[in-house]
Amino acid sequence: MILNNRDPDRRARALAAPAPFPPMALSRGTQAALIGLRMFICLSTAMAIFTIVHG
Amino acid sequence: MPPPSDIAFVELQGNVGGLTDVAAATRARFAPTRWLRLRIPAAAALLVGPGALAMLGENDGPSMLSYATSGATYGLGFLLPFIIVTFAAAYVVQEMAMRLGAVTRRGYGELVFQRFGRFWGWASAADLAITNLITLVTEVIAIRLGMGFFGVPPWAAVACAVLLVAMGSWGGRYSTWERLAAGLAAFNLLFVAVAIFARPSADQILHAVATWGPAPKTTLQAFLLILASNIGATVTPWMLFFQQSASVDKGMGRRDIRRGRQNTAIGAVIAAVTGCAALLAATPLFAHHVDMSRYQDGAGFAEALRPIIGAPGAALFALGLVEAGAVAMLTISASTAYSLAEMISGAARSFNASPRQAPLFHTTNVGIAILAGAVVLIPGAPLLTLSLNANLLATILMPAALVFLLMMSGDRQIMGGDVNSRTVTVLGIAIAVLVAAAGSAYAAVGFLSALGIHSF
Repeated sequence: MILNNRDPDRRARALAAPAPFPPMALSRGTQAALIGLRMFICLSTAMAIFTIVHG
Repeated sequence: MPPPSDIAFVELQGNVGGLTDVAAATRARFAPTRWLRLRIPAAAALLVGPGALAMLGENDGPSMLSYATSGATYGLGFLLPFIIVTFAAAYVVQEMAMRLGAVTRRGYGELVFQRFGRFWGWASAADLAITNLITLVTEVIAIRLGMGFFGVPPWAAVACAVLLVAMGSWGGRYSTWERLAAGLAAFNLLFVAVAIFARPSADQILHAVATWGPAPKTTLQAFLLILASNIGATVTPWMLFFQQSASVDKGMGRRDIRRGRQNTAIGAVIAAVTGCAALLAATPLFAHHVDMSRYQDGAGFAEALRPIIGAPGAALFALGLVEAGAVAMLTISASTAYSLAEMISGAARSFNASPRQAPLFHTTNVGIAILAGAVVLIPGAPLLTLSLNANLLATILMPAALVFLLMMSGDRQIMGGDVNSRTVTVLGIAIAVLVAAAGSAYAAVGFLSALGIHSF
């Protein structure tokens, strides 16, 4: 019952940290796509800031 | 070695650092206390949860001002159904975050860190920290302006905002914090009352929803800005971080996913209704051709509405602004605290832990609220610029967070049978593409116009 979170076990479970997941192996293509997305976002942010300052 | 999907579901085993001690102490601490508990009826309890809080928290100061600006500038038309669609998109995204948290028992930041490495983990956290600080500043501004309508001095309003966040850290229980936030969030319905004072035409509302018209008559740049602002008013990075981490803090597991969906859906419906109400509340300003440039701040809406809908309606609008800012202060500060603590291995990241047990978490929670309050009190700070562009920044940064969310919730290795369905994946990709297109299109058109290359 998610909504009755007075349950002490539920609270304890929330505080516990399970073992970490193993890292996901990203292919070169995926890494390149993620870096490209990041550059696209940086460019958009820079243009928006320029517009706000000079617009 | 067991497969990773099994590793993920080993509960209370392989604990890190002192967290086992914290968990045991918490179990002992809370088990015997049964008095002075606020009982919530089962039906009302459906409203209290991370999903509803994320949705109503996102109906924050800049969002409600964005909706009101849409109504005051363009009247009833395209933007009313557009708001409804953005909340449907928000449900798709937030359901993924809730499911990911319930299945993996990890917050968004922690999971990105573990699965994709330090670089992407810290990049996500940096995105969140920047947008959260700017958004929190706008929440304090909303509280300041709303309380200013009733004559409360700015320093007192800022102090109230910071004290509220500190109260959230004081209780030592997630449920206490959640009820504080949910109790305040109920007052988001004040905007419905204001809309009733504004007496919108039912025929016009039905026409707008059915036909998505009339379209706003404005320049391409202004149209893209209002689109991006309204998207950023509904789908933002902090919501992902918050809902996933809060679902973990609430102790949700796989069996709670159905209730989590219900909670998120109810929150989305209420938030869509109140968001549309904010737009409707401001439409009399459009009908009366009120020049909103005379009212260059949030409280200006209440002032501008007073002669048209009366003092009670205007006062309710100002109170609504205070509520919108207050709930968002709690949820956005919490999302910052969760994400930072999740980056540090072994650091406790829970409202169930006391400030002594989770010093980094609680210090960040209150510290970022203090920082935002201090910025608002700096004389000459560009507060108006921050208010108007907080949602735009959220829209531009959102696609990065969405891509990781889609990758993780579509990863069968960690999600098992609760992996994204094909429909959810397609919807998620469509939302990411549309959000990216809206943010970057405004940025590009605005940039070219600012350079004088082309006037749009």
